[in-house]
Amino acid sequence: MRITYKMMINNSEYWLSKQREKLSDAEIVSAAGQVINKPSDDPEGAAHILEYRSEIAKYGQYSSNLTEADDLISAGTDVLDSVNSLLTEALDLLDSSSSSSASEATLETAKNLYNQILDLANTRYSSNYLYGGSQTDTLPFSDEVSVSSGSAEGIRYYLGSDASAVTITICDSSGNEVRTLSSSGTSGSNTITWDGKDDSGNTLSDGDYTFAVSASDSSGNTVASSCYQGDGGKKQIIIGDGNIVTINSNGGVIFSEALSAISQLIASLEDGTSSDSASATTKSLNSAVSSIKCEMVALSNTSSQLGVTTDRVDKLTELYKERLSTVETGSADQAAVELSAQQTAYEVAQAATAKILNLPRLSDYL
Amino acid sequence: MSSMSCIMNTSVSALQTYQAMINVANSNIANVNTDGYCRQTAVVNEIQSNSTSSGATGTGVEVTNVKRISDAFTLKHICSANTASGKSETELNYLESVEAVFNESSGSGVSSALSGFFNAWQDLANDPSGSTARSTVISKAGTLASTLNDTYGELKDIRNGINDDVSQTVNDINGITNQIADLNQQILEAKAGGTDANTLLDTRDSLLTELSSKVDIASYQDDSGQLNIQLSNGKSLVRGSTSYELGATTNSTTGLSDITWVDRNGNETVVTDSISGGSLGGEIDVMNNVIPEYLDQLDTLAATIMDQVNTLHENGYDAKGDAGLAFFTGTGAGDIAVNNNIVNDTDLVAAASTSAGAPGDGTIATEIVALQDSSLMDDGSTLDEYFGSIVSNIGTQVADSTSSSTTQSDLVSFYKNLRESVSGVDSDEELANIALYQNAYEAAAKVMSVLDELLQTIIDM
Repeated sequence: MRITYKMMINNSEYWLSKQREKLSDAEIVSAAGQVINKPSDDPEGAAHILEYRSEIAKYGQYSSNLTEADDLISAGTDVLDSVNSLLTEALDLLDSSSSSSASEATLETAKNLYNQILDLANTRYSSNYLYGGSQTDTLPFSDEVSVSSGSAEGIRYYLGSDASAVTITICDSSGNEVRTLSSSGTSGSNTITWDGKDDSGNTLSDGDYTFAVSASDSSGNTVASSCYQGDGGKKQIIIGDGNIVTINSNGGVIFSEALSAISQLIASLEDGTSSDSASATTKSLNSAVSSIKCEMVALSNTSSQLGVTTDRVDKLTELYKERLSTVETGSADQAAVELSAQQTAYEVAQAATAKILNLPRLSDYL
Repeated sequence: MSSMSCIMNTSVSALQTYQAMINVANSNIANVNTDGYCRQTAVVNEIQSNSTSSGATGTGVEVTNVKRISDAFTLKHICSANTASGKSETELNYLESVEAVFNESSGSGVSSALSGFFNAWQDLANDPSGSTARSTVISKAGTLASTLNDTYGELKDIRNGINDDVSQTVNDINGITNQIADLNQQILEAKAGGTDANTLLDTRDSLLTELSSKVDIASYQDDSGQLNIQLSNGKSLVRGSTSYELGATTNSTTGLSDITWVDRNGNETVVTDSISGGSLGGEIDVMNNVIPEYLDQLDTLAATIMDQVNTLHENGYDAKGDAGLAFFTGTGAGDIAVNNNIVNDTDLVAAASTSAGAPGDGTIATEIVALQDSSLMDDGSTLDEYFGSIVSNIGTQVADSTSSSTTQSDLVSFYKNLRESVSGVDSDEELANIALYQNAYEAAAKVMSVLDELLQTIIDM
C-alpha cells in the first residue's frame, strides 16, 4: 500500500481523538464520582437507579409512617394505662365504701373518675381526636344536646351489645332531670329523637342540656352504654407494600364499658350500696379492666409487629442504598485506575504523533 | 540522416517535456493539503520516429495529457460509508438530546415526581383530615403533571428543531445538485474543447462525497462523462446539466415537513419514505419515528395515571362529603394538569370512601397509594417500571447509535485513507520525481550545448 505523509498524520489525528475521547469519559466518571451519568452509559443500570431511588423514597415514606404509627400507639397506650389505673381506683373506692353509705367526698371522687376517663377518651393527638373512629374532628364523647327554637336534635348514643331497655335521662344545665326517654337499641351507635319537651309535655326553653344513658338486656343485665358520637372507622397506616396496620380508634368499643361501669358505681354510691348492686358494680368494673387490658395487649402486639417491620424497612432501605451506590458510583479506585490508564494511553498517542511530525523529510537531504 | 534542426527539435521537446513534468509535480506539492485533490501525472509519449537510411531515430518526447489518479471504486465506497455515517451521526446527535430530556441522574424528573406524588397520598392516608397533607398532595400532583408536561414539551421542541434542520438540509442538497449539474456542463464543454477537466472533476467528486453524507443516492457516469444522480426510488436529482430540486413541505396533519421531489413542471411528489440515509435520512427517522414513539409512551403513562387516579378519586368523597371530581384533567402527557377546582380548594381532595363526612377516613387515599405497586400498564409493568423502561430504551438507543456511528465513521476514515493512498500527494515522492526530471532536463540541456558546439564547428569550417 502506498502510504503518504498525510495518511500518517491523519492516522495520528484519528488515534489522538479516540484516546482523548476515552480520557474524557474516564475523567467524567472520576470527577462526577459516578459511573452512570446518562442513561446510555448503562441503560439497564439507569433503569435500576430509578427503581432503587423510588424504592428508597417509598421505604423512607414507610419509615416515617412507622414512626407515626409508633407515636399513635404510645399515645394510645398512655391513655389506656391511665384509664386502667382510674378503674383500679374505682374498685378501691367501691371496696372502701361497701360497708357504709357513701360520703359526699366519695361520690365526688367517683364523679371525678368518670370525668377523667371521659377526658382521656376525648384525647386529641396532633389536632385529631384519637377515639372518634373516622370522625376525627368531632368530640368523641359528648353528653350535650341542645334545644333551639323549641326543637332538639337527635340524641346519639352507643351500646356495647343489643339492649331491650334503654333509658335516656335529660337534665337541664342545673342538673335537674327534665325528661326521661325509653327505647331499645342494637349494638353500636343508635339515635333517638327527642321533641325538646319535658316529661309533662312542655316545650323546654332553648339552651344546652345534658343526657345520660343506661341500658340493660332482656335478662336485666347491664349493657355497656355511652354518649359516643364517633363512628366505627379505624385508623389505618400503610407500613409496606400492601401492608396496612389498623389501630382501633372506635372509642365506643374501647371506653363504653369503663364509662358504664363508673356510672354504675356512681349510681350505686348514690343509692347507698346494697351488696347486690355492689357485686354487680364490681363485676362490671372488673370486666371493664379486662377489656382495657385486652386493648392494651392488642396495641402492644401491633407495636411489636411495627418493630419487626421497622427493622425490615431499615434493612431494605440500606440494601437499596447500597445497590444504588454500587450501580451509580461504581468503585472510586477503579475510576482512578481507569483515569491514569487513559492518561498514559493518551500520552503514548501524543508521543507517537510527535515522532511522526519530527520524521526527517526528503527535502532535508536534497 | 537526421538534420541538425531535427536533433535540435528533439532536445527542445525534451526540455519542454521535463519542464511540464516538473510543473505537474510542483502543482502536486502545492496541493499536498488540498481536500479532494487527486494527484496528477504527466503522461509522456515518444514522438513518432523518422525513418532514415540508417534506421528509425526518435524525434523527441511530448506530454500527451495530464492524468488524474483517481479510483472510482474507492469513491463509491466513501459515498456509501458517508451515507451511513451521516445518518448515524445525525441520529446520535438528536438522540443525545432526547436522552438528556430523560436523564434523571441528578435525581429529579418524572420518576422522582411519581415517588413524591404517591408519598404525598400516603401522608394523606395517614392523616386524611389534615389540610397540610391535602395541599401536599395537590402540590406534588402539580409537580408530577408539570414534569410530564415539560418532558413532553422538550421532546416536541427537539422535534420542531429537527423540522427546521430538515429544511436546511434540503436547501444544502439543492445547492449541491445544482453545482454538480453546472460542473457536468463545464466538464462537457472542457472535454469538447480538448482542455483537461481535472480540477472540475476534483470539485465534482468532492461535491458528490458531500452530497452522499446528506442523503442516500445512486450515481453513475454516462459515456460522455456526465455524472447522473438519483434518489433510491429512481427520481433524478441530477441528469446531465439539469438538476431537480427537493422541497420541504409542511404536512397539514403532522405539522412536520414532508420531503418532496419537484419535477421539471414544478409538480411535487412526496418522497419522504424513500429517503433512508444520510443526515436527511437520520433527521426524518428521529423526527417521524423515534420521537413520536417516546411521545406516545409518555402519553400512555400520563393517561394511565390520569385514568386510574381519576376513577378512584371519583369513587371517593371529599372533605365536604361530596363525590370526588376528576383529580387530573387533560388528555395526555402534554396537557395533564391537576383539576383547577381542586387546586383552588384543598377540601375537594377526595380521601374518604363514604359520603357521611368522615374526615378521618383515608380509604381512597390508601387505594390510590396502592396504584404505585400495581401492574397498571398493558405490558404488566408498574408506572415506575414503565418509565424506567423508557429511560433504559433511550439509553440503549443512544449506546447502540454511538457504537454504530463510531463504526461508520471508522469505515469512512478507512476508505478516505484508501483514497489518500491512491490519489493523495506524497511530497517526498514528488521531490524525488523532480530530482529525476531535473537530471533529465540537465542532460537535455547538455545535448543542446553539444549541438551548439557542433553548429559552431560547422560555422567555423
